[in-house]
Amino acid sequence: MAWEARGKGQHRFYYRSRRAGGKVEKVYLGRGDVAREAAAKDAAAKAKLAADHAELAELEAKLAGVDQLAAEVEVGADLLTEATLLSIGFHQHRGQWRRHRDVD
Amino acid sequence: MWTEHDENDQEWVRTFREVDGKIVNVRIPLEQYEREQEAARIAQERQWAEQKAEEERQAAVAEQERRAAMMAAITPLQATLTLARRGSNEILPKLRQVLDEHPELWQHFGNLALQVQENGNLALQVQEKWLQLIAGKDLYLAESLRLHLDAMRSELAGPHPSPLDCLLVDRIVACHVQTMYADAMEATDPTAENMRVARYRMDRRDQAHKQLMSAVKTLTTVRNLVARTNVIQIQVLNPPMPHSAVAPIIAEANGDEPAAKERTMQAEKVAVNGLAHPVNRLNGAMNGHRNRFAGVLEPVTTE
Repeated sequence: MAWEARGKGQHRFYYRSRRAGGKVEKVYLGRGDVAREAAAKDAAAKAKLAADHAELAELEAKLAGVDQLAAEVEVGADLLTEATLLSIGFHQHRGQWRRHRDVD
Repeated sequence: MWTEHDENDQEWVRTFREVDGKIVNVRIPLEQYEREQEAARIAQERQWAEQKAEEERQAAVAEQERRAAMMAAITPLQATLTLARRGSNEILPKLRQVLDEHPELWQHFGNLALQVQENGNLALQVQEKWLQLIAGKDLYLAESLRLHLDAMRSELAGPHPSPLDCLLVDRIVACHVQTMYADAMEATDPTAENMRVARYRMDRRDQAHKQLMSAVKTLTTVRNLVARTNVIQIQVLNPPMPHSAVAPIIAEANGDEPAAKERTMQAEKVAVNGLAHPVNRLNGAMNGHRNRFAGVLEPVTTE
């Protein structure tokens, strides 16, 4: 989406880009009220998209620290559980814990 | 400190200063006094900032060292685990030895050293961080939630929890508070205009519930397995009386109603747990039977 200078007078015309059939094509909207209205609409949509991304990034950044700690707890708990169960004579068979027959 | 005006209507500040080891009353212009106060304030703030930065640096170094120690402990455990997963029973004593030699692993990941080093274990850190996110500056809400989580932890852990119990219970509590945060986030702003954020929140909520269910399942599995090994031993030493459909009826006919009721309840538990002795899968209570693997799953002492 951009105002592009064309012609001898270098007037600025508004073009809206869109993807169709795997190719990008430009839609001519002129330089009148329709073009100005479309440009304002596109700018607002672009600003909203940027604000949405910023909000999401902020939320992700806020939770990143605690997520990392929680993941460490998960890994540690799984590791120690497995180690304990193996050490007292269990083994995993296709995800199911079973007891060794020869362990008393 | 007080102010006064001279004959030219200039404002002066009278204050006390230390000059040559003596406290003297001096008079200085108000502008100079304000400049000095501002400079002192800036210097004090700079000092505080430097102190805070130094404390953070020391904390980061300590955390790094702690993690390095954890990695040093985890590496032999992982190596031994890899061998144990292949089914070689000869490695099991070595695995027990590694677990015994590194009690800091339990302390690091769980709540075992609650009284000793609150900042040292991850599960509590996770819980506190979630609480900060949920409660914000509302200290009353944070404290209420903390008490609720402590009660939940005590209830799940039971009277004599092993280190593994403590660790798994802490994990459940951490997952629970994460779920609470996800629910609260969804409840406070259910009609978010930002679809990306709404989808992200929904995914996080699903993920939190899955993690909670997984944590509960792990604790249940461990308690079930350990209880089952207890039951096998107890059955060998003292075989239980065979359950009979008519036994409760005979007992009732003999006027022995409590015994009949107990037997019926036990039969129901067997149907639920698949065990000969009733076991609470979540808090591990088991009719007072001792754990056969007491060496490995020793109850925690917290004095």
